[in-house]
Amino acid sequence: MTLLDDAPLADGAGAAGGAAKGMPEQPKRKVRGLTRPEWAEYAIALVAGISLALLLRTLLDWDDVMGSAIIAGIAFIGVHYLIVRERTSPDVALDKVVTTMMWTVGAVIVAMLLWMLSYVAVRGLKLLNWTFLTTDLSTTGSLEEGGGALHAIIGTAEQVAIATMVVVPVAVLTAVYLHELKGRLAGLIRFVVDSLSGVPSIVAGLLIFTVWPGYAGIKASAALAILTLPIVTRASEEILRTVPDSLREASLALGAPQWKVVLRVVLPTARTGLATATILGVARMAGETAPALYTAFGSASVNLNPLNGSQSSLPLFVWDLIRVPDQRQNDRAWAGALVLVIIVLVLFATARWLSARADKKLGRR
Amino acid sequence: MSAISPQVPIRPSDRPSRGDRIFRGFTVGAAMLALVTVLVAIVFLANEARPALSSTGLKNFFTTTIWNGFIGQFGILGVMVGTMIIATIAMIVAVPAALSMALFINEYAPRKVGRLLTSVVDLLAALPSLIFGMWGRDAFQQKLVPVARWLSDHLYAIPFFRLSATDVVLVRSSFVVGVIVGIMVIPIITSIARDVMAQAPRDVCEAALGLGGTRWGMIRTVILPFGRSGIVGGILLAFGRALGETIAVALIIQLTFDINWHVLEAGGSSVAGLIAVRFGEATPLERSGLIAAGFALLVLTFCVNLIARRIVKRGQVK
Amino acid sequence: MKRLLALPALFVAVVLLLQTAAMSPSSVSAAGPTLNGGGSSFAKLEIDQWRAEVARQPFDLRVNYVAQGSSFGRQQYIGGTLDFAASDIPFLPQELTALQSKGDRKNFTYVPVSAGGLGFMYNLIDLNGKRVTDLKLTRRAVCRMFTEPNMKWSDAEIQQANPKLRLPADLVRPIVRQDGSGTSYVFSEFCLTVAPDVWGRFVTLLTADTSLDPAFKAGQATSNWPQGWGVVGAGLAADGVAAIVADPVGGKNSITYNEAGFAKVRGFPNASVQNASGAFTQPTEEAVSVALTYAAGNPDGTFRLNFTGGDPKAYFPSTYSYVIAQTTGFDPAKGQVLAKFLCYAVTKGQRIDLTEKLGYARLSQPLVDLARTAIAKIPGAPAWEQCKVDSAPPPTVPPTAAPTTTIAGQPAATTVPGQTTDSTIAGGQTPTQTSIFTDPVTGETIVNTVPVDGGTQGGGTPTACTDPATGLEADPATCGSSGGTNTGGGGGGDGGFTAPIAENPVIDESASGPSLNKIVWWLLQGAAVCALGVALAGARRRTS
Repeated sequence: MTLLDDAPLADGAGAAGGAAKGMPEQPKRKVRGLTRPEWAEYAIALVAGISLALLLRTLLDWDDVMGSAIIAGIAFIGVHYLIVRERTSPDVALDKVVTTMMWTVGAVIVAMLLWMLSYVAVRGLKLLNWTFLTTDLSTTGSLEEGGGALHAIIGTAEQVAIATMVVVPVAVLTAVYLHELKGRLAGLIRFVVDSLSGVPSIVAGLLIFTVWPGYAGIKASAALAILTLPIVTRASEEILRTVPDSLREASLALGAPQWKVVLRVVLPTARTGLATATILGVARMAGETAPALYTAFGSASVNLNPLNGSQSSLPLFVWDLIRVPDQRQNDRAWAGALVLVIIVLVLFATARWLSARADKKLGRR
Repeated sequence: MSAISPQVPIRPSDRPSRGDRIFRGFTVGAAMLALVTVLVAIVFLANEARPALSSTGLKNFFTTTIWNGFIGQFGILGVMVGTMIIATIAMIVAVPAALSMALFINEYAPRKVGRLLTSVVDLLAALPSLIFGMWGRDAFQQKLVPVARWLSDHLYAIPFFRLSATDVVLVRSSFVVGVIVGIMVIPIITSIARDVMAQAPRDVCEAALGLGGTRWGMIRTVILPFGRSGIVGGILLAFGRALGETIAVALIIQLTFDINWHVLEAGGSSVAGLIAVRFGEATPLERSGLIAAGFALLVLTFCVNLIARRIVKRGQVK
Repeated sequence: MKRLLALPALFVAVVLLLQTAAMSPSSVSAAGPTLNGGGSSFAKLEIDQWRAEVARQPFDLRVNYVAQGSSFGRQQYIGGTLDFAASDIPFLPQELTALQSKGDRKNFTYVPVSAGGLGFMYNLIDLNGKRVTDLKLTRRAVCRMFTEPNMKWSDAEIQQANPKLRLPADLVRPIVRQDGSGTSYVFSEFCLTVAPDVWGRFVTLLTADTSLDPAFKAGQATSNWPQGWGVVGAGLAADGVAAIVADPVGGKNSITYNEAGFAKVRGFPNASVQNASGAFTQPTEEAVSVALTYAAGNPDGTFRLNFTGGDPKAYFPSTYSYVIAQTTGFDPAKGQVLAKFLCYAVTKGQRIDLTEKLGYARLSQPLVDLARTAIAKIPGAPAWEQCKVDSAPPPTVPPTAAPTTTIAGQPAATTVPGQTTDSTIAGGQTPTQTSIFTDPVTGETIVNTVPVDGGTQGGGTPTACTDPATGLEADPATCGSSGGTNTGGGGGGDGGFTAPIAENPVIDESASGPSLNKIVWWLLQGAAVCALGVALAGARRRTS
């Protein structure tokens, strides 16, 4: 009876449901939302659950809020199960219970994310202003007011830009090799890319530290590139997979050489997808702390030169200041974290928007 | 499905044109970069790790918990087990939540809610672990203290939830870190699970529903068995990610070299967190020990990842 | 097709943009190259403050400091990736061996820069249920607490020193550093000196444990405090042990040794420790400074702390940090910057208001003298008279005179408004305090208002100016005058500052690092390159 409650995302599952056997009295009704009897079931179960918990609480003289909450929750689900079972069947009742739990999990995760974002926003807004974005810490002492994260923002921008410019061509070409050319080494390369994707972020930093000692923004870029290469490669391969083979076949049949097919047909078709993958890769890089720890080293003043001298980055800035037991430094760290979150959110929204547009173009969904 | 895509060249007897050969050279070069990176990583890390390994002995390296730069003893048993404990707790949190999310988005949720949740999950994946760590340290872990207290009070039948004393600290523990890392890896499991579940044959699903089954019945009998290997692979991938998590762990946990089975109590360990925190203060020999530990972690995550990919792939082929 | 070309165009634009960035110097400064330093986290707060102060006018020096640990600093110095390192302890023997093969880097000098008391932070509730905040400990008792497995708070030796306290019969829970630490080293040195019998018993107690530092086994001071005996607890890093003690539940009955500032930050008391004269002292700025007047130089440039000085005001034990600087083969241009920076650090950087706010102690006269000799060895170092920036003179030997000189200049200065137009005024006369600090413990803002302060004086006279980068009021004297030759202003809290007269909200180009002009120029150039790229792409499309 719950089949038509709401239209699920996966097509077909709901449409083909129809009226279930054993419930001939099932009336036709709207596709979405709950009917009045269903609301009643939920309400009754909720009231029963809470009152049971309260009753136990007073009877046993409990002072255990969490225990009571758990009991209320269990009682709610139990009572609801029993009511629905009484009215329909055990299977339906079980389905109802599962539905309730899934809604709960979804709500909890959304709440958690909102909590986290709002927490960062509240702590960060205290210091986040124009000055914070346009000054560095070069003349601001440890216990003084003022200063900002300009040096860190510039550092992040440069490091991520360099890493992106290395990673994207390499990743796309690797994906082309894996999917379009299917070279002899494809199996080996795929294996290698997989193994790279397991590299913990701190180990990537350590690797650059041992291979290429010294401090410069570009070394952080190298560590970031190692981390992101497998991610973008895999994403690109997936995207190339979605390009219809008919396009390739058509071009090849017209006598185009393969490089032209890839460059003029396949990649342009996959353009939006690749852009989305790139943007998400950039977002990932912008937030990585560990690779920059022993490569970019950190600094308090603006260093425009990514090739020479220590440089800060936003995550590094935050990481340095959040571990100091000093309120002012922590405030700076939170403001930096807020900037970081905003950057990630903007990139994320851009990626979403791009892929939504691409979906619309291709007539998907 | 990838087999359909045509093989070059079109004229099978001919050699590929010059343009094609140059193009091919480019792609092979790019692909080789990944290979070179891995080789360099192995050679350099192994080389750097050698002094510590030779002073400790390979057996002691894996079987002791002594970490002492002065006598050159670096046992990673404690930190490895600690890493496993954190990752396991993360899985206990993440797996049910992530699978519910995947099923919910795919099968239950109204379209708008489903879209919202997809965005939420993807956003969880995009947010930096530093943010999770800071939020966990300053906001979330205090909220977990009553939970930990409750677990120790009521579930003391489970040995892990017992406390070594009544007045112990319940923050900066493996439990707290595990829960936070768990939230971080939810997106990995969810996205893979959604992918494999979406591949379940729709006609069978519809048939199950058509026969009068409920949606849960359909999920249990069709979707879950179909997606099982993919889901297991996804969980393993997430496990690998949890093993390597660095910054959130380093920010929150109170590091120790011993094995702390009291997961609710302050004190735990993680290889990646240890490296992040200790590397600065380490002597050259200890630094070598830390690199050795990092190398061991790399090998471990690599194995986990490899197995996971194999399982996922097998699930997809079906 | 168009889009396909736009992408490479963007690529080229970004490359060119980075190219211009790469050609720009590492940092903008008129007074020499940028220095990279790193190391001690203990000295971080102070070095960070000096770094910021010398970045302003008239010094305009660029110094980077990243606190990733003493050992890291020494390693990076050996490896040649840092221009200078800050460390809480001298080079270890094996590091000295490694240095021998590093060319000129093997010639270096230690410059003492930072000092602080080693406090004993504790968390104790007495039998009346009240928090104990005035615990007194004899030197022997302190050492016993960290070496004896079954020591109780009600131990006779503790009770005797605190007749008024009702101490619980609970075990003392010492919290030690799990990692190697300079604090452990100094504390063990202290115990070896003042209570050798206690230390001897400790070594005997742990004689079976083979995992300990060989130095400890040999009865010497150790950086790795032995663990795993009795109820001893351990934490990683200074903040780690402080966090354990400060925990309301788990920290009960515990005590740890740490830089005194950490207890302050967490709102916990430090124990008063008895000194050689029998007085119980707190690790205050003054007490530590007095104690450090007993330090004596070693031939290798390090110094030896004397824990038995007789001044009743002295507090023992104390910790300290050196800067390690190269003496031969070092680029003189960099050497000059480093020497100027260190000169500032050991003279004006030691002014009492600063060290106190940051929780450090001032360097005593013998240490400043040591530093002076050491700085002179740095290639390119200017003469001492030219690079010192005076404020109140450091505490001197004999220590009996120290307390008076320490406080001397302070009240005197506040009574002489308007006398700060001169440059390089000798110490004791002009510590004009104009900084605003927020107390790290209470969070309240302390404004050090002095009559000459431009910020409080308001408009009218052309002396009011504000450092745009920091929001601090600048010293009006240096503000108004042409302070180019000013070697530090008259001891203003934020260092001298030269800027156009009156309120000038425009970001000062030289003082605040990134010059606005430069950034704008850079952005413009970038935009131009972008436009060029797009235009090229368009042109190619039309022709093809």
